[in-house]
Amino acid sequence: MNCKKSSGLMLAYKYLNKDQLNELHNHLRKCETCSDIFKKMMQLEDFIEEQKKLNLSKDFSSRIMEQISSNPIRTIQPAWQIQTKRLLAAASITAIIWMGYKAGSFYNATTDSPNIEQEFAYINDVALESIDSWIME
Amino acid sequence: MNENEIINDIIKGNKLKYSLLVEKNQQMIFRACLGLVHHHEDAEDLTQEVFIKAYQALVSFKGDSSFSTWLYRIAINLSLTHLRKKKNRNIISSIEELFKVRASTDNNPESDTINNEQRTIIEKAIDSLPENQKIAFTLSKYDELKQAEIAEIMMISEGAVESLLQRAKKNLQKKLSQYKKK
Repeated sequence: MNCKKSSGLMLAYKYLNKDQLNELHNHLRKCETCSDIFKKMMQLEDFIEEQKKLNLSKDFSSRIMEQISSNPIRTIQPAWQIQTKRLLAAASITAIIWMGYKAGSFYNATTDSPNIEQEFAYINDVALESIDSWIME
Repeated sequence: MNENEIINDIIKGNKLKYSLLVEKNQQMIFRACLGLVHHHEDAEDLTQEVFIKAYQALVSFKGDSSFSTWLYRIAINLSLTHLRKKKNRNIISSIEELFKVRASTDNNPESDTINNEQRTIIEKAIDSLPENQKIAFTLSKYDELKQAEIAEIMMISEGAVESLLQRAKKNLQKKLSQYKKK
């Protein structure tokens, strides 16, 4: 028997017949590499058996019951409610973006007004002089 | 009283009946979590989370599959999420965690048969399996489920489960043999 066949038999160890078992064990006696792999595969089985013996705490069930007393069962929301919520969220986001855009426009209006020069044109010298004389009085 | 009647009663407000479902399924769900995370306390916490989440979502249980199948799916999802989070933690905390595992399993008198180094090697080999192979392997080995049951839980064909189990065993054999070479 070669190592490849030995490896295949190891994988099906539980289902081997007597002849196959003998064949495998004969190979394992001669081949150190396969023997080491076989040992590790058996350790894997032992490890799983060992873990399967672990148990939950004795008060596990009562702890769950204690927890659910304060946790209600969630109800399923109807589809129309979910859709309405989504639409409202989309509308809110659109409104926020629009307000942000408008706020930007107000800012531009106060700094870059093309009418500022025209507004100053109304304050002519004659008018200023009259104000000046009024203050002096 | 069958499972669906118990569930209907619970939904109507008879919370106490949930203990029937917990007691019937707790050990098998714990074993599935343990097979995936290997750590006793983590597996117990995950099992607890499974039952709380299942209770909260009980209304969404349609009864198309059995309640235990539904629980298994929740357990697998939570355990895999737990493992992904754990993987993302830094090396230092992983080492600390490893020591905690050692400390907790060392208290177990059963652990004398395999030493700590061997246990670490085996855990690493199982953890290195791709997720699907790991799930199939855990359900087959830890919970001793039939291929048909595993197929239902994983929502794949029986043939696919068989193939996953074969590949998992081969990969484990390969991984375990590599440790000798190092």
